[in-house]
Amino acid sequence: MGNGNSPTSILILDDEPIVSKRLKPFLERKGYEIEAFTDSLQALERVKQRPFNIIITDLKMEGLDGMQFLTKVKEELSPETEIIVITGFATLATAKQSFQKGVFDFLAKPFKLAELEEVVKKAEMKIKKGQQQ
Amino acid sequence: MDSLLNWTKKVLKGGKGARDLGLGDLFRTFSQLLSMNNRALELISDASEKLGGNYVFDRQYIEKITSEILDAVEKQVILLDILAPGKYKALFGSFYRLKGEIEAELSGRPARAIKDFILFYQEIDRDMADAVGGKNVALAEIKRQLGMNIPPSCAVTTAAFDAFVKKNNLDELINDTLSRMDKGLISAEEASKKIQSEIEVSPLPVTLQFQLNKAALLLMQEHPSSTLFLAMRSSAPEEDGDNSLAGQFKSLLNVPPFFVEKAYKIVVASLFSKWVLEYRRTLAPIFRRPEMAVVLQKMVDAAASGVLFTMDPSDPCQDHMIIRANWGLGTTVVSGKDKNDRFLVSRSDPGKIVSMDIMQKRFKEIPVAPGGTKRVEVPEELQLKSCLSIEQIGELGSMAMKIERHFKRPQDIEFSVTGQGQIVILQTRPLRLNKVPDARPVGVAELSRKYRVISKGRGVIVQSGIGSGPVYIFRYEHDLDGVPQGAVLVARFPSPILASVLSRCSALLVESGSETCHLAAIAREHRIPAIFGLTGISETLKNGMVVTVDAEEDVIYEGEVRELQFYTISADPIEESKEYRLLRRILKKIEPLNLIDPADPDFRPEACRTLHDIIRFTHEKGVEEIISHLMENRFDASSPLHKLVWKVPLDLVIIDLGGGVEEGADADIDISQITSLGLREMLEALAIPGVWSSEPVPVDVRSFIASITRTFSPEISRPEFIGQNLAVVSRHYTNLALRLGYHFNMIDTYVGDEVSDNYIYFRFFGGVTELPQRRRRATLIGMILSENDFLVEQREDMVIGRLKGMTKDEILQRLHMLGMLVGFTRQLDVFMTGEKSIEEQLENFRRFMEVKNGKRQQSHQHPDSR
Repeated sequence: MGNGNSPTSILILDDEPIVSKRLKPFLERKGYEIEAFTDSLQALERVKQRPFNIIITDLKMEGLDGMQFLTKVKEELSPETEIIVITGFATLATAKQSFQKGVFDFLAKPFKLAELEEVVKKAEMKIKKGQQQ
Repeated sequence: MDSLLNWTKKVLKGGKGARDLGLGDLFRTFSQLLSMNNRALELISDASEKLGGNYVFDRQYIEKITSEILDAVEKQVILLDILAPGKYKALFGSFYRLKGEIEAELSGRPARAIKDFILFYQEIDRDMADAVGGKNVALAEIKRQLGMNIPPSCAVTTAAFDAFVKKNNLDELINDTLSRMDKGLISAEEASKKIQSEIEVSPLPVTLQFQLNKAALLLMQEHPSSTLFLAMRSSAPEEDGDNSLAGQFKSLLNVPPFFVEKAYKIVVASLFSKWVLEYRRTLAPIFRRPEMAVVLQKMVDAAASGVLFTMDPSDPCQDHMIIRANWGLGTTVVSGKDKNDRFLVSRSDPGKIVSMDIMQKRFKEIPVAPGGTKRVEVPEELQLKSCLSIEQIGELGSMAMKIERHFKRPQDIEFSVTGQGQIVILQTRPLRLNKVPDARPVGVAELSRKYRVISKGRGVIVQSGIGSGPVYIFRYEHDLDGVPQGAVLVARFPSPILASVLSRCSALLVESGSETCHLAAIAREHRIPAIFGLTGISETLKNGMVVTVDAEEDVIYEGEVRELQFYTISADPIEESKEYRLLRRILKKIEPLNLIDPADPDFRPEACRTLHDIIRFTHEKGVEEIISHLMENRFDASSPLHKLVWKVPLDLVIIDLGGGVEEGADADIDISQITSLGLREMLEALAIPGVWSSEPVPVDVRSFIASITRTFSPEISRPEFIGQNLAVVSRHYTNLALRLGYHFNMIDTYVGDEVSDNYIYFRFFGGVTELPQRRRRATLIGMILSENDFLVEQREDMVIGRLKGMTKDEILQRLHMLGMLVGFTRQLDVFMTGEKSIEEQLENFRRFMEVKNGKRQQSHQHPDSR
């Protein structure tokens, strides 16, 4: 989206494969460019290689957890990336904390596909606005 | 468990003996039971809704919701035991057995849910792939769901494999060898030799030997023959998944019964062939422990056999499927050494042959007498003759497309044609495409430029997916025979009778209904793409017009959108992911309701087969217990028991938990003394002139009604209260249990100022007529509830409606409607003699509401306003 007509790029990170499996084709049909990861370190490597407009990530994961991941992205690698946190009820309190890190929004799992699409669209609008200024 | 003990103590306030429960404790226990009952039912429907493909959930969710359901039901069982100490002990047994089974499902491996070594196909369903492998599941489904011919078959399960491995301590050897191979200490070839030779010399457990031989003999008894024995095919759980192990394991043909044990070991050993181990080494991380199930089937008397690919693997965009076939068994086709006939058949018009290449087929393989097969020369006059007739090719083509549509993936199918010309499917598995067609799915924007959009974003997606075909508009019951294969079925109401034809439809569109109704559950069960709530769609669409239903995006296109057809079969269906399968398996032990009629002798704790049965049982008995407890101090001044004296012959006993009846009221009260908000509202509605006796009831039925306001349940302890209409109330709470005309109606509600506390739970079942009529009445009630914002579930003649999160006034309006509904539907099943009556009576009720509600304004006086 950065220049002209290229599609909005989204990185999905969740250690449970079913999440990407469901989200990837759904968002692709909406015209987004999607890369999906189940391993946070690999995802981090990818963000170092290229920026994404939006990142959708879980919080609770093995290894580098979602909070560390998004902190690194927001504070070091790509501050302009909008982050959407998707997480279970157990970590909802933590999710709220993540707002302090500049997270765009969060959704509690399980959620409806349409709900996520809505949040993604809002994030996209925010990005567009930012670019116009 | 500790927390549960504390919880129980809290309920009992200091853990006093249940026998000397004071009235306060008794009510507290009872209302806790009711609230756990509602909570459990709500959680169950929450879980079941997730299966439609419309939600994103993960394993964590499955674990969480399952433990919450178990917790709520466990509390119910304990609460009932507090109300009736020791009386329903067996219920604990039923509960802990189910809990154990559910937890075993969740934990996966250690406690295998299926312990049988052999399973016959009638016992296999699609969620058992872990136990019997994809090939067995696919064959069982082809037979059951699609009604196609398969050979007499059974599955040797992974439990059998486990037992074999365990008996011979093979796990240790396998792990050790594989890890040495991974470290590069030995080659894949060496590892393979070591494991395979050990498997060959290891004996099968005696029980497995016995069962395997017994199954073999049973299969041999079908169409006995001196040359036809058994086939053994691999059916490894991981074979048909995402990886390309498909087809890499051994199949053995024409195995004589005495050789079955040996053959089993050969098939199992192919799990460790050099090739498979090489593959495993490069992709090791994605594999779990190797394991295998086996297909055991009777050989088919094959005149010709072959393989059909529903797509061209190297050019999937072509509109044809490929059949290769030869005389005799399929071995000559699979091996690829011999020349055989090749036919291309149209995909879009599966009866149409695109091309035929008839080769000179000099050799064929046939089964022979001592067992095994033999390569023989084809008689000269047949060598240049097509081994399949034009009709057989056409029939194969349509069968293949049905199979592909059913499994939502391109298929690799092996078949035989018998001497009598009957087509038999030997196996089917997902076809691997060499070239994946356009990985990028097509968006709505792009498609709507090319195809006319008939409807967009107007309904509720009940089952996601894509289907296309000719529209078939359902109006009357007798129409159902005419539903063609692959139709897009369109209906005004989610009538449960549609379930019987759903499996042959490619999509389902309904004007009303929601994700929780019975038909929605069936659509999910069959994975039929379905959109509900499409008002007016049966007018917009015309019979026979071809449409494509995109139940991913909630769009209906005119014509066949081939771009989407492609998308849906080349993508991995999400419903087949591990999480969906797990949730479905768990829900099977939770959701179905078998215990319906309390008068049935089988309405007992031991007969509870699901958690829903337990929920139902505890609720029924809980209500019964509280009545009998209260009977001990009946109708004296201090008693909370009251009898309603009323012009409507409802014969209602009211138990006041506090604030539900005017203070200081006598045992006999009139309606003006009722201060319970919910009960008062419903009774006011019933009191509107004409509501109670609105229908033209035939004369002889009048006396009948008098007698049936009291029905019976043989188990109830106090005969004087048999079938008593009962309301348990407080100011804000009402539980109204009515038994009218052989049906049972329960309304449980809380009405207060806090929106989040408010709810209505409505349940109705039974009746005096035959099941179809009762079912229609339940459908009608479901539709009325639906129109009034209830979430509705229906099973046979039972309908459950739930509603919550509404303001006090909104809830009261619904309760008013329910009061009228109780009056309106009392005898209605008698009149519901055709499917059309549902629609007529729905119209009647709407009119009835309009007319009578005019009177509501005049007669209605809110208890609050006094």
